[in-house]
Amino acid sequence: MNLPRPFRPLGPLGPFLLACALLTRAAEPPLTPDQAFEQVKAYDYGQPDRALHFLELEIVRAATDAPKKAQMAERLGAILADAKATHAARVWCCQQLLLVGTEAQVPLLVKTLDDEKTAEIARFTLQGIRGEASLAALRTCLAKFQGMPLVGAVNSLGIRRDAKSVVAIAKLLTNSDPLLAAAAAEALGKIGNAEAATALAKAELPARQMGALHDAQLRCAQLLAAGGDAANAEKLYEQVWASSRPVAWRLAGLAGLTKVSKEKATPLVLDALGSEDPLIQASAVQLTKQLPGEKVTAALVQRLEKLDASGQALLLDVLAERGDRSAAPGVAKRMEAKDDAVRAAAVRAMGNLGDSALIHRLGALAATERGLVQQAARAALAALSSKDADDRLLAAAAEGEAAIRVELLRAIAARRIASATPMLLKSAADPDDAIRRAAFDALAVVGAPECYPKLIGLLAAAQGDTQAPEKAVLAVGARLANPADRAAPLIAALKTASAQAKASLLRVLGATGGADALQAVRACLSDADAAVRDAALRSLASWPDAAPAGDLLKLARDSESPVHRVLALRGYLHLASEEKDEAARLKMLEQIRPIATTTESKKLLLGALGEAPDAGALQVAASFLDDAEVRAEAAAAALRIGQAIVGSDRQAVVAAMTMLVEKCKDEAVVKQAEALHAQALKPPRAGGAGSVPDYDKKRSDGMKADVAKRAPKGFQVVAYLNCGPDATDGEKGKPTLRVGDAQAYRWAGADIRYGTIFYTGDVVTFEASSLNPKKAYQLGFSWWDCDHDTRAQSVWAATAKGEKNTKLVDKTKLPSGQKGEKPAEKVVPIPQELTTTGGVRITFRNEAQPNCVVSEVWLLESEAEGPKGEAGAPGPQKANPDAKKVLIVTGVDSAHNWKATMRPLADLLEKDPRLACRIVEDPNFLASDEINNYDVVVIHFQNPKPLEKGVEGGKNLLKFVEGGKGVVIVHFGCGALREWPDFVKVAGRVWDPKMRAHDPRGPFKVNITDVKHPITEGMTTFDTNDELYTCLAGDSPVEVLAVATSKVDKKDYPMALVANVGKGRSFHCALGHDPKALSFPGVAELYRRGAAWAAGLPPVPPTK
Amino acid sequence: MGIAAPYFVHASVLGAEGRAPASDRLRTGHIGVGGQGSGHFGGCVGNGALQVMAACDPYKSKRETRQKQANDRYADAIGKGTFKGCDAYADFRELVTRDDIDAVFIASPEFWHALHAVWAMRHGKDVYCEKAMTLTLYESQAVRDTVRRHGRVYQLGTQQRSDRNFRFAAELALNGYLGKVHTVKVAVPGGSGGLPIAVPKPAPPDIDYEMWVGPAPWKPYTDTHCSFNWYFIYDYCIGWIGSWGVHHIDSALWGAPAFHTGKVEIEGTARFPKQGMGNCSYSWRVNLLAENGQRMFFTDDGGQPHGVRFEGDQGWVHVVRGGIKAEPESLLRLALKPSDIHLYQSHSHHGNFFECIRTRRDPVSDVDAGLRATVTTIIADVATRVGRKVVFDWTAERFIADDVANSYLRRPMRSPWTL
Repeated sequence: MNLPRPFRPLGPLGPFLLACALLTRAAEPPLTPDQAFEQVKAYDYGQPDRALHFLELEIVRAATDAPKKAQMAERLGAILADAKATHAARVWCCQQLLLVGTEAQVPLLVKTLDDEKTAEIARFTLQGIRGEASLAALRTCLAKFQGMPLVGAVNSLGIRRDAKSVVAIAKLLTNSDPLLAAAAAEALGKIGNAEAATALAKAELPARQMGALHDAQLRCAQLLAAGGDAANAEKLYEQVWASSRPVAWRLAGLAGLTKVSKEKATPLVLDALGSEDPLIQASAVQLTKQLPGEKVTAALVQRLEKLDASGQALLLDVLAERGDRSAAPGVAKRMEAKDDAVRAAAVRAMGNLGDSALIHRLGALAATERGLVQQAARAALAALSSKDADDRLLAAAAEGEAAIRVELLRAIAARRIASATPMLLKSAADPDDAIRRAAFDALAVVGAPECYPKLIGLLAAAQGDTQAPEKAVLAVGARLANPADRAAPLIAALKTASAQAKASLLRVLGATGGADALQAVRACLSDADAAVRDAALRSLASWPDAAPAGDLLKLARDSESPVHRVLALRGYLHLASEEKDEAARLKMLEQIRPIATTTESKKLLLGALGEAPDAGALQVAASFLDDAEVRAEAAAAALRIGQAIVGSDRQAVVAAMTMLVEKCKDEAVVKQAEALHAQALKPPRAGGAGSVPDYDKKRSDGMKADVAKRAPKGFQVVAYLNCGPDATDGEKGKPTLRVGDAQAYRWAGADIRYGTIFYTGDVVTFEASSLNPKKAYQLGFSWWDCDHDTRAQSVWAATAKGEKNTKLVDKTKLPSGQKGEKPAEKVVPIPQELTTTGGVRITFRNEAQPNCVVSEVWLLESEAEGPKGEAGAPGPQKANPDAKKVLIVTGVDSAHNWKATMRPLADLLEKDPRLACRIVEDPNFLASDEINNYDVVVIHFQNPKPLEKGVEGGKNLLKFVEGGKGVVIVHFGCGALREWPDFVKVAGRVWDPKMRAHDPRGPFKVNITDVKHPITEGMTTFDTNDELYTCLAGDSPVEVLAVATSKVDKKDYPMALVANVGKGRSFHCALGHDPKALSFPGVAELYRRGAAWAAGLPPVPPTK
Repeated sequence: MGIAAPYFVHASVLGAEGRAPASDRLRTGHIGVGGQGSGHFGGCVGNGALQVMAACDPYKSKRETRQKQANDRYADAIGKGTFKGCDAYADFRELVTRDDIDAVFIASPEFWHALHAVWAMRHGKDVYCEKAMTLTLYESQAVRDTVRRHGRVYQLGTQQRSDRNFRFAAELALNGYLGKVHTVKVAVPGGSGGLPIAVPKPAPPDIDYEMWVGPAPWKPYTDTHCSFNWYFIYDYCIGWIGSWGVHHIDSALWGAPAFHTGKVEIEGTARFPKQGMGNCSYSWRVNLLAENGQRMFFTDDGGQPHGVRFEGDQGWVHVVRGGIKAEPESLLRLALKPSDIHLYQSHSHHGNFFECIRTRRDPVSDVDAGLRATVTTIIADVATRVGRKVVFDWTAERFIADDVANSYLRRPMRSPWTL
């Protein structure tokens, strides 16, 4: 026998498995066995235990041959003998020695037996080590130990079945310590020789220890019997059966005796059958199964007489099971019993014990009786096992009383009599309705494919109820070797069929499907007979696939008959509900909107939407909320669908329920919508692993395209993993992303994008490979603390070999799903000194509780081949190596959509080819030394809560600017870093929450003040539409470059100002609430020139 | 005098309170009454044909909560006749040595199962035990031998045997409706990927910690291991490869008995936590090869779709809790022939147990099936630990020529415990 490779690639997870094999290294360097053994010595409970985990596998895997095994055992023994090793370490070593220890460790273990603290674990280990030496050592314990350790030693010797210890152990049977006496009994039972049997037979133990003695006697008897000493075994069993112990105990003696001596047991068992005690009776009945032969059978039949009804029923079952036909006459008599349960049991038993002579009688019972007896008769007919039973049944079913024939036809189906087809076809033409129906039913089960055309002929000629023949045609048709052959005979029959038969044939065609069938059914839509037209339409409506969708849509719109319009619409909606692909289903639903013109058709549509509840159906339902005619129905449909999908598509439900609350007046509806809305916002249930869906390329590509939309300028997404389902992504030979150390999981009820994750207790790793050393790379990812409010993680990058491990993201608290926070998305540059090696290992590290989770990961690659060592490469057309580097710091804002403004801001700055922007979505980045690689830092964030590294970042920023660099404060950036009092030194003016915030959003003019400054030189008053900030405070010297007049208080407020900070420059602009505000030429110009000035460049006149 | 009374009575004869006369009630005791055990306890308290006599748990709060639940229900009966109310014990030995209890429900952590079951049975009790059957192969053998030696009724809590879909899937596979079955695929949840390093502390007064640790190697109390987490700590359980695996493996073996016949080759890999208290695999890929050439792929849910799948050369059937699929789909509407193998029919796992107590037959999840399923998960786990191909001989119930692998099959117990 040869096994295949241990890892058979399983679907899309193949690469995942490969990655598992390649990347089992954690972020920390792997241990060597030497280091690990060293660490074990000092291990104690509650201490780091990597070494134990490592060695638990290392030891058994190294022990493939004797020398290596011995070496491992020796190392474990050394720790065990080391007085400085902890107790925890020694216990652990003993456990490992149980796997690899040999006689060589025995002397060492004997020594540890003498130490009270280690005696128990040494005994424990000796028990598991094979060979005479360990046994001898255990024997010495009998003299050496007292109390609990002695109990342990007796237990061990019992398990080792040490015959040499019997005498010593037998003495302990009378020990005053009941635990010890019980242990002795138990051990003797396991040793199980004649000597032990003698000791056990006369032992007496206290009541609470009797169970141990009882078991020991039985076990000893069992072992004796197995060893051929039946005589002593019998004695013990008889002693147990005759004892005064509880009945449930004693019966074990009778059962044992039945095994070793049928002769002795038979009279006792037969006697027990007559016991008054139901437990003894029932047990005896079961024991008779081990006592074959007509003698016992006869005794059982005789016993029947003396039992009440339920006892008889039980015994009849047992007689049936024995299968001894000598019981048949006695059992048959009970078929006349008064009690139904007894009759049923007898009838059922006769299925096993009787022969084909019973067929007619059983048929009659099945035809005339109801309930239990009828069921039993049918079961017996199906079970009759005599050789001629099938043939006799076929003959009997062909004639005689109709009701009986019906039952016999049913039995033919139940017995799957393959040769029955000709006889059944004949019966299918019988004048009796019930016989015909039964024959068709049987044909549906056993009809041979060859009878298909004949069956269609019978269907075409059928009178009255056509359900059974239709079912038979469908069932036999399904057995045709080629499914394509099903339609032709039906279509042929259609040509000459009567109107009624046509209806039948059309129904069958509707379930058969196929192109030819569709054409034939279509033709019947214009049949002269209304009933045929009707049947044709219904046939289309039940079609197995969506092929007739177009026909139905047309009929729903154009049919002259209102009934048919409704039928067609309903059929169309049914087909839509059967469509598996969500997008295709939505498209089908949308096509019906223009047709749903009448109130009735709209209601019909809304009613049908719930049949396949999904986001698309919800969207269609919600779209009718504006239609006063059917608003109530639309709301009801939306609620119904919402309920159905709230567990799977929370976002769609939130959106629809918001609309509902807005548009519905009905209080009850609003209340329900609000409840559903709240439910959708609730965090998914913690615990209970939801199943991780399979990898789906289409789905992942969609998510990839979505993150690509937000890619920093000049970068494109080259690989994307939706953690959980996706294990690897990237084209061959191109940059590839692969998961390493991780396990897939889905938070129950959470969406696939963020709710499926990779996780482990400590680190989740990914490997980026085949990187272009000349290009720059960034890492994008999303994470979410869906079921807690505790998780915090950092992100690291190292070379593929694990060198140069660099922190990309400091310990950061994850947004909590418990608190209703949304998943967070981040993009960070990967230092080029890592990517130039071609491969990077990314590590997400758990920094809190309970573990480390990642929702999505993607890899961004610069379009251009950036200058070596430069983290952010500018866009291709602007590959200007001398450009000043501008770092836009964003990632949080309590009142603004920073994701929407960060790109437009970078774009407008880069209109000046001397500026190259990079965006970092992490304000804590300010604390990093890396900011010194830039010329200007743009503060485009506002943190509502203190940042983890806010103060540190602020100080770092101040140092950066004072040292001669530039800073730009954008709009609400004035409210950043409020935890750091010196922010005003950098920003010149800062947000004072006590002041009025701003004029209502609207158009206003920005006036350039008279100050001669390179930034505003040549600029004139310009228009914008923005929030006019009225909340900037501070008294340090600044130069105001532009102002605007508030419509509220008619006062002028600064819109742009500059300040000198040490050797550096600060430009602060209050404009730029959103992309629209940034799009005004004047605003863009002001920012561009301000940033250039901050970078130490002479601002240039407006370009284009 | 009938053979059927008094163990099990039909609802129709229950009194006004929905309860059978006291003398006719089956009397139950419950060991381990948190988690899964509380479900069994509640079910029995609500069953008028039963009388719940005692609750046992090392946690005072747990056993007393259950005691109160039972006594509230029995309030009218306490003190009348001999019934004094439901008792509560920390030590199961006090429960099993009572002679007024007929059946014991066991829902303790797995490393206790064998001792609890064996003690109950050698004291004449019938046993319903939660899965997995035991922690080791040796313990499974001890339970099986005790059932046979004492003629007890033993039902393992692998309740998929009382689910029509699982039975039907196995019947399709056994009776050739899928053609020649060449592959069986089994996937179950992998469990926890890791537990923290837990700091020892004094055991809280609520717990009798000695009775919690019992036969396992002693270590100081931590909140981490004295909780649901025991599933993922090797001293107490082999992880969900066993504890969850036993359900689907049992269903797989039902339809593919070759995997518990003769010799079976096993090879596999697994991932284990690298630190912390948990040291059981959480992700595994194990291949088994039976003598008849059938293969089984046993993985966690990350490896293949969850459930049990029998694949033959003419079709397949895939069954999970609450669903069954097949190809061709018509298989699902198929009715078995009288000459086909019909597997044991049970529609209620508890009900089947009570019925068998009355008739003294083996229940649907009998001890042999329980041993095979449990041992299959154990040997799969061992294969991943030793990291090499092993061959298990079902006749000898040992690995062939692999001392290290065989050493995993038995673990010594702390005194005074033994089996």
